[in-house]
Amino acid sequence: MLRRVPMAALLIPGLAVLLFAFGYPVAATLAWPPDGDPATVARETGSLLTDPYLLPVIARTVRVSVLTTAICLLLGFPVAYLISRAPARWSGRLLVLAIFPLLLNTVVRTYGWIVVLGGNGLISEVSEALGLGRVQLLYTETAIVLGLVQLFLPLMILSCYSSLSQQDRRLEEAARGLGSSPGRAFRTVVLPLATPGALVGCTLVFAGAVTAFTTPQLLGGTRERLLSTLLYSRVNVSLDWPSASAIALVMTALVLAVSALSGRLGKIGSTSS
Amino acid sequence: MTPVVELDRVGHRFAAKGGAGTTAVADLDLAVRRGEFTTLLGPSGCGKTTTLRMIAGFLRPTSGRILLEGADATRTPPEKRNIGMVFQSYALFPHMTLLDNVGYGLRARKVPAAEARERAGQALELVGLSHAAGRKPAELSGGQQQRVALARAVAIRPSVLLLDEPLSNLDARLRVQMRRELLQVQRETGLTAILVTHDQDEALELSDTMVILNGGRLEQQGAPRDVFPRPASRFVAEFLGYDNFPELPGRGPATIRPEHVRLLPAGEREDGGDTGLDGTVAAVTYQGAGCLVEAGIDGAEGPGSAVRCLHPADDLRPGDRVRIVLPARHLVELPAGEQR
Repeated sequence: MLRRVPMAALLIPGLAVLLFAFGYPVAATLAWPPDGDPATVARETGSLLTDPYLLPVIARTVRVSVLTTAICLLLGFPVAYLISRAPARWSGRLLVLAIFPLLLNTVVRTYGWIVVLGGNGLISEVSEALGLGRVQLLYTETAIVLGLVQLFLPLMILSCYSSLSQQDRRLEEAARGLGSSPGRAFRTVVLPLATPGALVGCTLVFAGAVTAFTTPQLLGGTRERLLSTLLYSRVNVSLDWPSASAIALVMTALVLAVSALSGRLGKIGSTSS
Repeated sequence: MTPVVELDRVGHRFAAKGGAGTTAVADLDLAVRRGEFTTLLGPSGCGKTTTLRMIAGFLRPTSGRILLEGADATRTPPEKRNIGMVFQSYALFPHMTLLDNVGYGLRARKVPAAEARERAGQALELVGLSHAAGRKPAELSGGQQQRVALARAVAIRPSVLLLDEPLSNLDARLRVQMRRELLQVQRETGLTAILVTHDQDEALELSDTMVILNGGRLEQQGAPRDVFPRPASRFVAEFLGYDNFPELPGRGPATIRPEHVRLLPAGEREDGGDTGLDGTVAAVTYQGAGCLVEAGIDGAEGPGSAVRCLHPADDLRPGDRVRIVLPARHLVELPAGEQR
């Protein structure tokens, strides 16, 4: 048996890495911003939040991330439910299939979308054949959302699956036996008990969508900027480091706000009902 | 009177990939009368849980019919059967308070909220847990969870209470106590009950009718007072703890319980009518109140050559010569031709 003190010591290596590789850079961005002083970053952050060009970028980032999260939840939860209720010899295989896309490089997957969505792509050709004219989906918000959904869907499926597969299958039967239709049993028993996993999934997907770079860069181009692609161009193209720091701050705040919200929702879910 | 539950040649085969599948239950006939306590008894894999799950509607028979209150319910989904099921794992809803757990079936039945609360409260009171109505299942002990599961099943006033090994997760002492409480609740509510168990003591104590299953088939059914002293087959005898199957010269297979065998000093004779055999003590195991003595029958060989006896004194040692007495009123003849 390990005693209390050595158990806590197990945290030290992980914490040390986090402190060095995450805590320090964040603190440094705030306290000693590259090529500027903290006051500049503060001013930049302030102007970012009022800038008529940048505000739409923030709004678009939030919109794209919320949409991506919502679509992932709507698509992922039923799949996770199906996998968790499939016969044992099937659930393993289905799970591997569901997370298989994670094993492919993001760039490769995203180029796939360029082929499908481009002006000469599949969708455009089908649309023309139907007499609806050519459509250009590439470099639109829709393209970004499509790409991000594909990117993060496995994450949502895994999170929901972890909650769903832990449920005692007898709970559903108990609900049915007590007079609930399959739908009511799902609504009153399966869904509430799966909420924590779904919330974790939403937080992960939202955070991932806010910070994703490759997908919005390739599918959104320079026309549909998100915070992440804007950040990249501020650092690498315009070399405007204080403004880049400000953007990074806004992104971090967004992610923290959403994870705090999901933590709060989780707490409410477990005490009420 | 129409039976509450009636099985008419019910069978269930589990499909297997490519193969013929396995038969869990075959051609089972059963009638459960109103207010009766019936137990389905047998070792694991005998089909008792499959049978219960078919009655509940969680599993559809592959042959035969199930009638509830006289109406064919073979294809009725569980929520329309009005059954109260208690699961081995209790299956309490972890995100609801005890009161909400017990009231769940009433809300599903669209019972007005005030009445549902009152009836749920009454059901909790029946199992002595009114004081914990606002708690969550995780805060309760196993025995308390068991009571809540029972209250939840009883609250809907089901036409039949189905109990799937509800006591098997409790420790031995609590199990005996819960047995009494279960019986008390069943008597007080007047509910018809079907219990699945592998524990013969539980079946003997609770049953009006016990149904012993083996390999998906009915071996024997009847009141415990009829079944226990008169097992109809070697399987039932073994299951009920008859572990002597002596080969008696010139007679068919028979069985007797160790506590009914008597050992007399060599040379003494049994009463007329009883069966007596000469033998030698082979082994003695001290058991406090007495000894378990294994004695070999003179001239016999093989599995039927030894008799085990619960001997009230510690006065025998291996090698001692004894007269083994099998009293006629305890010796049960078994159907011939059944060999293992």
